[in-house]
Amino acid sequence: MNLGCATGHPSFVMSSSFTNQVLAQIELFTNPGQYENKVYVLPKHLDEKVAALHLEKLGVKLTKLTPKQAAYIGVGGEGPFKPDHYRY
Amino acid sequence: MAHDYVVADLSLADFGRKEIMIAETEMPGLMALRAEYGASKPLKGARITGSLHMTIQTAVLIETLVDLGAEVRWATCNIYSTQDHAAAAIAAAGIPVFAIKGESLADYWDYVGRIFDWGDGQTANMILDDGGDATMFALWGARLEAGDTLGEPGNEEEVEFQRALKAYIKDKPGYLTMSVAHIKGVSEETTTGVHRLYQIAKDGKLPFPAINVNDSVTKSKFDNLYGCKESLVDAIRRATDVMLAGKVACVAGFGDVGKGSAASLRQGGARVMVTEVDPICALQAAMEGYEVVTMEEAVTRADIFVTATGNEDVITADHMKAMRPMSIVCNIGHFDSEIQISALSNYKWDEIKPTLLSSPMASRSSSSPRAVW
Repeated sequence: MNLGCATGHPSFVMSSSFTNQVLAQIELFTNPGQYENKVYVLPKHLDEKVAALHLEKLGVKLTKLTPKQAAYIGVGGEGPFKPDHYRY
Repeated sequence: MAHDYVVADLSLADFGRKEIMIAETEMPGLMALRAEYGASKPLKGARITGSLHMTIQTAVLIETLVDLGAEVRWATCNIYSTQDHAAAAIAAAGIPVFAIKGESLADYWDYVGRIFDWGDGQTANMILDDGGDATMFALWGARLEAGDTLGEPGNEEEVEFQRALKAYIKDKPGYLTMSVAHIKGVSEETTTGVHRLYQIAKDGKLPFPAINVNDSVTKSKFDNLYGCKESLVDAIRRATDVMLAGKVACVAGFGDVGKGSAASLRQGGARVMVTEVDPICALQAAMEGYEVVTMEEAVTRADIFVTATGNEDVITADHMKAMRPMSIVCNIGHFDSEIQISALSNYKWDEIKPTLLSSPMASRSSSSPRAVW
């Protein structure tokens, strides 16, 4: 519908999707044997990397956790910021 | 050798290139990967068979893969979605691409065959897929050659899939089996394709690893949601020029795509109803302020219907018979079988444009539901 009658999604949001695609291709191509014949999702640190790459364009100023704050919620200062089961 | 591409009009390449250059400025993630990996070329040696809507945005993806060292052969994953100027620009850049907006299903499946044909004894060693068609083509090719059998085709899509696959195997015996053996993995873009992959893996029939790109948070919670939020009403307006404000719309399915679609219509001033089978998504819809109803109730009340379920026969021929005159029916899910179009083949259809059909159905009035997708 949206692709047939118009031009699909805007570039910015597709950049987010396709950055995941490229990272997945790199991951599978450069690590043969590390993955079994199963279906995986990308690790959260790469998911966060994709988001991080899109912040500057929107003028987003990200707050940094202090070491004390990072320790308080039990994450590294550079992420991942959420457990794998977090649903956003 | 003939050209190693099929596009509608190569003279559109300059226009395509201009739009690709604009898109690059809006795709910071891909451009950052070019800056990070353009020198080390981690995809050197990768022969990627890619099946994904051949749009301007996809052109930026393709050229990023090439910049990282990959060789690429590309087809679209939907017969309507190609932007011919994007395909032309990719062909002009010397990248094999097989995609024409409005191509037939027969051509579509032949093009899937072309993207696996690397020639000179080489095969693909990676698949980048959207919806799973390329993966299914290769896997079923290998399975048929191993003695497995396909069921009777249930629709035109399956008829053409089976025809193209059997012709390919006859022409290049053993080649798809060899391709599958060389493939290191597949990355899958969308909900429908991921669903297929999990089913194949559950049956123990997945011969290589797969990465489910769809369920990256930065994919499904953005592309499916915010993408549809912008592009759904854009498509309805371009297709029909209908006034959205004040209309009653019904969105079938309240997953990420349904959430974006419902928001899109609400922002356009429509009053939006939702249908759902999952109590969690139904509760989410209700608490977002949408009226949650069944399709049987919605058909007599809504002016615009959008399917976003990933299932089939969500809007049936009987539903359409009960709709009000000039209702707009469209699908934003991956496959158009969400709307029971095949059951309407006995009605007279008027093609207003290739993606907009109108039918005077023998129902409540002389004018009619329109189908749009």
